[in-house]
Amino acid sequence: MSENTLDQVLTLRREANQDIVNVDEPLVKLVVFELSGERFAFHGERIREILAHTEVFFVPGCPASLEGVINVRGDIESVIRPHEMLQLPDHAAPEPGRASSILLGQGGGIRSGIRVDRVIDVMDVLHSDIQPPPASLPEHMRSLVLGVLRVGGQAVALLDLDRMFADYARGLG
Amino acid sequence: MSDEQACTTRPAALAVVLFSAGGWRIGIEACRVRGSAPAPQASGARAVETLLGIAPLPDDGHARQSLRLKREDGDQEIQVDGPVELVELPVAAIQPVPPLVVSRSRLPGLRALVLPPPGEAAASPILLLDAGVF
Repeated sequence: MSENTLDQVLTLRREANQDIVNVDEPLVKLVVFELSGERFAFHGERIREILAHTEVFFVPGCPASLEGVINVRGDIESVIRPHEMLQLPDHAAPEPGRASSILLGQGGGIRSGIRVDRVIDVMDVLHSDIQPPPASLPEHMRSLVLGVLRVGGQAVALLDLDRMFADYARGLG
Repeated sequence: MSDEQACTTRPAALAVVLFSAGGWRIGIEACRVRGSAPAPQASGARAVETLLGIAPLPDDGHARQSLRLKREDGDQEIQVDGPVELVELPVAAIQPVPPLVVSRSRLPGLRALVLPPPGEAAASPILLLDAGVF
């Protein structure tokens, strides 16, 4: 049995290191939130701000899914409730002890607030963690879901904000 | 001075006639309004709530106002709730209607919004309408 010298060991290690190719996988920033007990996410680049305790003013003539308008440092933005689009029960009042939030999103040339029950996390995930939407996805979700992933053991549906705003403007939800 | 010019009284303000309808505060450009007066009981003027499709306040016998609007084909009168005020709204306070509200609101002629100052939680926004809708 030949004995390795330290020089040989270090040489081997250097060569081994040279074989390592940097394959850093791209990370995707997500804003994960809860809506009627289900978990969803938007791409972080689509969410400009997360607003809490913002006063919403109702505008007459709007559907119940359009909660109203808010003042964001002098600009007026709408606030939609996406429950109906996602066919989720909409309990307008937040659960006791839980303050709901408004995600200020931008997609498809439209900016609007989106009411969510609570923000779970703003996180980076590996692109490969996001799987294509399963075939079992309900019909009404198919056009809105870009992919699915698991966060903390729970399924999260990654939503297409551009599509959501475009569909809402067309009268869906 | 043209009607359009008359709407802007100061460089940074818009003259607006405010009135109420169904509990909402509504404004139209002052240059589109000829005048207002207490509405006679048997007025044939149409109620603004009917024209806008919003629910009127319960009829408790409160006095209504008649608003006379300038129209190319002859002035038109509408019945509104008071108080009727002529105010100058700072241009900076007048905001365009957000696109999703434009898409989904059934309120005819909604052109702009003025939100109450922060802290006035009980206040409601001023709805600025196109007078041509009446």
